[in-house]
Amino acid sequence: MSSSVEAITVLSSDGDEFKITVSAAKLSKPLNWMLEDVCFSDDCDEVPTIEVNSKTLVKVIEYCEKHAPRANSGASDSDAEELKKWDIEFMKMDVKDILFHILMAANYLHMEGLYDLACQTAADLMKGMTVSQIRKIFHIKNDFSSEEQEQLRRQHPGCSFD
Amino acid sequence: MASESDKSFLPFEIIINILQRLPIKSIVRFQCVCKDWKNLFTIPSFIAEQILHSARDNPFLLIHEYDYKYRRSSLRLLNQKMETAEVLSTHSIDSFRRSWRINGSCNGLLCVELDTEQGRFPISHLLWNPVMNEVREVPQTLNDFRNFSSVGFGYSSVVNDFKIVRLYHPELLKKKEDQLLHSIRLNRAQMFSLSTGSWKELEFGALNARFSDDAVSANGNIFWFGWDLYPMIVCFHIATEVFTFTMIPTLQSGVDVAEHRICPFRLDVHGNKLALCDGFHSINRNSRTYSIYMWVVEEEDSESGNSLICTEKYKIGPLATVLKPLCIWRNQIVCIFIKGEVEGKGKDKGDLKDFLYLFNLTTKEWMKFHDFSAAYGRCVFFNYERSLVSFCNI
Repeated sequence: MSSSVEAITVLSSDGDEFKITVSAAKLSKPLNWMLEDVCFSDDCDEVPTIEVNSKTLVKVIEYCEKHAPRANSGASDSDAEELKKWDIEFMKMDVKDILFHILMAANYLHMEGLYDLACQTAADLMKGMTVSQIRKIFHIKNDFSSEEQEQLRRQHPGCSFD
Repeated sequence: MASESDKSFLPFEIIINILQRLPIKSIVRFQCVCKDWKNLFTIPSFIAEQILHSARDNPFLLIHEYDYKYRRSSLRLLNQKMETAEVLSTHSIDSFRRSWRINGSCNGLLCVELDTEQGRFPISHLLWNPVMNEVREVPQTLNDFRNFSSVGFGYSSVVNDFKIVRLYHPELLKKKEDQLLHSIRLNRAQMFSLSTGSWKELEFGALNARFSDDAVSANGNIFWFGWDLYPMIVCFHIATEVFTFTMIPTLQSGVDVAEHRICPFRLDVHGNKLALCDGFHSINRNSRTYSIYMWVVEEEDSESGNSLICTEKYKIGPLATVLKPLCIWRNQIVCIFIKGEVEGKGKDKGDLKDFLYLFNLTTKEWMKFHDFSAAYGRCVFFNYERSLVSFCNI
């Protein structure tokens, strides 16, 4: 048992090892619980697994490490500005490829800040898409009958099913 | 995480959270994606969350400009950069062929009053959601509807209902445009509820007071600034339908209400608190200066029960020119530059433009943002957020 642990090792769902600092892990409740388990159990050999794939976990840990100093100590307005800019750069990613995985991970790891950020990013990416692009991304089938489509068109002239 | 399966691997709960953050125009378009999404957009909890995001991330200043002479009217939405985001099509309310004005804006619904047209028609109201392109005609009230009235409009999430409240005087009829509401005493109240679809008379006590033209709604209440022996705040609690009247004997500042005879105040909301705003001349020896004051109205617990206290929050000035405050918008005060009160300087009388300015309460900076050129015109402002509120769901 050691209270001077500075980083813990976790496994991704793909079985890769990742290191995360104690202060960064505090951004997530489930990670924090794992941390306590590791710190206070005599048997430190077992490496906890996080049900997030490696590609996503890299990003999640990057986010945690960046936000940890501010979350733990508070920050000035200029730091907050800087962090906002960093968030925007950080979120420049493909919707399906990684953003959806980040959303799932943030939800699973109870990381409110990242979850909000990822939801907003997804909304910003989706807002300009066509209906058929949206269906493709979410694997949704058009289940309106032709009568129902006609009724919707009457209600909202110019609405498109494509 | 089976992203290869033919279902989206995102749980619906996460999808909902994303959709709530979309701009309203995208949501309206995405009704056509599938039935589940279309139904989701009519659920009150989704609509309420969307309004919260809309008000925080995408608030608009609605400007109603109208020109008495040519009877022209326009509704313009300005975004946070003070750019015109949209000019609303007024076709659905113009089709009633009466002149109209807006009484209130709440959760994306506008309460529109159709004029009597010199007493030929009773006054009537419409509720309108420009986004959904839906208009609901409000039925005629119990009494003759040609009276002077001060109308308030608001929403309560407790009862999920929108209500219109009219303070009026049963004998005074509105005939002339030049009669001013705030010189007239009102002593009755009646209320329309969207969910019941009908009007009813309300208990208004023995009050016989003067009221401001504008009412404002916040947190399930509608507020008026009233004036009897003392100035007062009249509060109507939308869920319980009860009025409370609270006197404001003095304002906590150098300005004495009685001395300045300020009426009507502009009543508004600043950071979820009720606020009052007005401008004053002060005359020292030979010089005359002008300042704008803003007070915040807060509840104060005292031995005799709750009372309201007005605390001076901001003083802007002294200013070299007269800029009358019109509306509080987010952290800013919208002011109009009054031509007639500018001293000398050989003003071109043909220049009939009025200039609108914005004062930022945080940075203390002035910004000129819009001018309008109506010869006999007026500008009225509302806080507005786009919403999915539909009359089918209330």
